Amino acid sequence: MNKCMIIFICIVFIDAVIKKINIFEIFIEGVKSTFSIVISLFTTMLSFMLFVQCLNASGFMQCLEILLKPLCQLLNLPIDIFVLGLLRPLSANASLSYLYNFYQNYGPDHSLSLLATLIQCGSDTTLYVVSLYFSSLKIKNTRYAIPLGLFLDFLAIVFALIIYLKTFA
Amino acid sequence: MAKLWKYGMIIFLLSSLFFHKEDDLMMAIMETPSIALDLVLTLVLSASLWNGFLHIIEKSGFMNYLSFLLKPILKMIYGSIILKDDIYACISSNIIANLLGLGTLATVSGLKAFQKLQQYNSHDYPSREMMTLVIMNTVGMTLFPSSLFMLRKQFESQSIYQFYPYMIIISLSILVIGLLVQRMIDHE
Repeated sequence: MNKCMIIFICIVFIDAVIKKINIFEIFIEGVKSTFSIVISLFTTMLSFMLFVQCLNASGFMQCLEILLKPLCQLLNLPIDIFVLGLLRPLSANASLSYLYNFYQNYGPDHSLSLLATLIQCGSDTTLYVVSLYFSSLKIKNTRYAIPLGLFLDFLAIVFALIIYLKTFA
Repeated sequence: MAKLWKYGMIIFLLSSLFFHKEDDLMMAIMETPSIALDLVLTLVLSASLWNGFLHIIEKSGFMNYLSFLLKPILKMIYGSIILKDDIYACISSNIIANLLGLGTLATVSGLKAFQKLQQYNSHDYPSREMMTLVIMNTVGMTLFPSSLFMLRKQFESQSIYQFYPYMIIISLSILVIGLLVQRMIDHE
C-alpha cells in the first residue's frame, strides 16, 4: 500500500518535472485552497459532535438499547453500531463524530472499531449528496436517487456486518 | 437533517432530565468544542496534504495518461456523453478526488459536472447520466481513504490498513450493484 502510493506520487512528480511545471507552487496553491473549507467544516462538525455527545450522555441510548435488545443479542453487537448505521446516510460529519467516539472508547484496533470503520467508508452520505446536487440546479424531481442510494447504504452495512461476523467476531 | 438535529437535541436534553444525567450531559457538552477541533484538525491537515498532490495531478495534465484506462470504463458507465472533453475533465477530476478520499473537494468538481450534464440534457427531468453521477457520488468509491488513515494513525493504530481490503470489496460491490439496478429501472 505504502509502496504503491509512493510509486504513484513519484511518477506524477517526475512527469510534472519533465513538463517543466512549477510543482512547488502548485502544491502550495492546493494546500492553501483547502483551508477555505475550515470554517464551514468546523461549524458543522461542532454541531454534530454536540449532537453525538448529547446522544451518548443523555441516557437516550439506554432507551434505544431496551427497544432494540433482541436484534443486538441476535448479532451480539452493541447498540452503537446500529446508531452509526442510522447516522451514516444522513450526514458524513455526524457519523465521523460517532466513529471518533468509537476509537476513543474501544481503541482503533478493536474489532468493533473495524466494523465501524467499514460502515463509515463503505458508502457515502446519500441524503446530503442528493439534496446538494439537485438543489444546486433547483431540480425538484430527484426520481429514484434517494431510494436507490438508501438501498445501497443498507447493502453496504449488511456487507460490513457479514464480513465482521465471518472474520473478526 | 436540520429537523433531526433540532428534535434530537430537545429529546436528549429532556431525557437527561428524566434519567437524572444532568452532570454527565453538561460535562459532555463542555468537552464538545475541543473534540470537534481535534477531529477537524485531523481532517483538514490530511485534506490539505492530499489536495496538494491532487492539484499537481490536475494541473500537470497527468489525467491524460490515465484517460486510455479511464475513458473506456467511464464510457461503459456514462455512455457516449463522456467523449465530450469538458464533461470528461469534470467527471474524471471528481472521480480522482473521490478515489483519494477527499469527499469535500470531490463535491466541487461533481457539481460542475452535474451542471454541464444538465446543459446536454434534452428532457425536462434529470437525464440518466445525471442520475449516474449522483449514484457514483452517493457510493463514494475510494481507493485511498486518506482522512481515515490519518485518523487511525492519530489514535496510534497498530495496523492502519487492516480494514482496507474489506472496504474495497464492500464499496466496489455496492457500486456495481447500484449501477446494475440503475440500468434495470432506467432505460432510455
